[in-house]
Amino acid sequence: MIITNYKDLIEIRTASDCCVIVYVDDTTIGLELANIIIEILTRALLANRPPWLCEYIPSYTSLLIEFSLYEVDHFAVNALLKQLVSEAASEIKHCVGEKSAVKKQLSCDQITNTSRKDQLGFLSAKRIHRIPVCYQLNSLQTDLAKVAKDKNISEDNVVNLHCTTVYRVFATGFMPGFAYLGELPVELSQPRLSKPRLKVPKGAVAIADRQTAIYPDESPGGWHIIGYTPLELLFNTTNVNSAESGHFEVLLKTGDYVEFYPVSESEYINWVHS
Amino acid sequence: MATGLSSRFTDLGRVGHKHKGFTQSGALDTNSHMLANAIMRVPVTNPTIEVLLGGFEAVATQDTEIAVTGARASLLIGGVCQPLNHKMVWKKDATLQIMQPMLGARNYIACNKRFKTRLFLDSCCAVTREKTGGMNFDGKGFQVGDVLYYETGISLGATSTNASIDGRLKKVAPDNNLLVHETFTTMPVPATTLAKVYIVRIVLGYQQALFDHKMKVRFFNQRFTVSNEASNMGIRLTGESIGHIAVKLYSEGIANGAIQITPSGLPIVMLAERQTIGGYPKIGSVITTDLPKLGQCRPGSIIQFEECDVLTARQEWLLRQMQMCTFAQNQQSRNDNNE
Repeated sequence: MIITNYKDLIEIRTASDCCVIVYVDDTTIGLELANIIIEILTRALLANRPPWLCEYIPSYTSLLIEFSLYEVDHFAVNALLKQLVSEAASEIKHCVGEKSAVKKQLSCDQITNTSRKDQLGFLSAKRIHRIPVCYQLNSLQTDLAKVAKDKNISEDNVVNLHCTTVYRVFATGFMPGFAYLGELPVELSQPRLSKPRLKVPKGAVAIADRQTAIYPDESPGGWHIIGYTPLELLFNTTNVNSAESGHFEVLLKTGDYVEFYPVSESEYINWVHS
Repeated sequence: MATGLSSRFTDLGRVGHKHKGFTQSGALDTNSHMLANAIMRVPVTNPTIEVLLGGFEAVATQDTEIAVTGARASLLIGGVCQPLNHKMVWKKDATLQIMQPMLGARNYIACNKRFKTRLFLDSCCAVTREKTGGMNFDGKGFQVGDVLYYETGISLGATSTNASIDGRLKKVAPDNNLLVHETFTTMPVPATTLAKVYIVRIVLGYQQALFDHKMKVRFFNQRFTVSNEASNMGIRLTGESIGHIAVKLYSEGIANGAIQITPSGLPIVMLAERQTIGGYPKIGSVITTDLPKLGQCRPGSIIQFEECDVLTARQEWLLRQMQMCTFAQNQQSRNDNNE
């Protein structure tokens, strides 16, 4: 399908008296492309960071923008956003072209089983995180066996499918450092738990619908746990001895790419203790 | 969600960290927070103490000056009833008590100096859900026995938060209620309106076009009741279902005051400590000027929504800010004349 005017896919709506939200229609172009357009618009907004900008929250197909009521009204914000959209049109077109090339290559690779490294070569311009996951950790609760049974595939196959996909960070939220990664292979897709767990352990790698994620800290959650990562997703960058403000940085940011690889239980334990 | 009884430092919350998943936090009734600081002639961004549903007690270790704003609660210093929204002296060794409010939910204490707080993401707020911020960076509010300090390093008082509601109720003698009065100043005090029924204005937005006429009529023509699930994150309302829209949405950024309609057809109003993104359809958002009213809601409070356009909403907000500024300036000059 050829889309001549990407502007038609973009809609700006009121969210509150001090927020507007930009939506990208993903029905024709798909979620990943829609999310890339959101990323481009976010970057464009930050490139000439207007003084009235208080907050921005990029998510799957939307970008929420909070502005200062002191400085501007809705008209001014809408006008600037419309301008950004027109200016970004050529970049969007360019990225979309490149993206479809990558996509083609990716699907070829999956068929011919070319090494993963070659695949990632196409994405080298992006931030890619390789995240170790222990899928066979006996000390903590897991739904791996149940997922395999429900989807009628072997546990090894679940692990294989989970590890052989490059995921994009579509959104961050729910809790600090929590990244929604997609899209999970259809073969693994299943609805959330009917009864959410009250406590999902820190580091749990979980799946639900067409998504996967890592719990950066202990939290309630309704996703199916299939493994655990020893990696820290939140970094405390606070200088304990200074009187300055405390700060946390997050590993995964919207627009990053993530790939999982399996590690053994002993490797996991060594990692956690190191 | 549960309404925990808490007292903690608060300010206007974090700015610019939502894209990383950190919540906004901050005073639920920003108006009372700013008013308390304005009365004390300190910047409105200074930290104040937010007390939820009373039960706060503290002993001063030195003479100090404070102002308490917010919920209509009996306020005692050394057992003597004091007015709300008023600057007053808190003598050394005297006990400050804030009783369970008769109307409203949250009180704010400001002082003539600056409380010594620890900043996390440039805000002193503690967020229990995230286990971030607060005096120990663990997301917890004050604990019994904590000592609060001024920036200069002089201690202000030791807190004791009474855990049992019974214990608190016994302390509120009926006569004390009559002594609670508004300020004596002649200038209008821009205090948050306290009521049994709150008229809350909203701007339509987000997925509002998906809600048909009937649903909007049902939404705007009934009085919702605040359920027990009311916290700093949000308030779940009960009432007659407005109906359900069957649409699957991608999670998207949630504005302060956004009104989500759950599958049961009832609204949840998202507040200061809301999660940054969520996937329920939203009909619109409460205007910034009316958000402090929600900070004073408690289970059983009644809410009636009214529609408002974005330009009126901005006018209302600018007007409110101007009132607060004028009040602060008057307060300043009045105090200058007295001294």
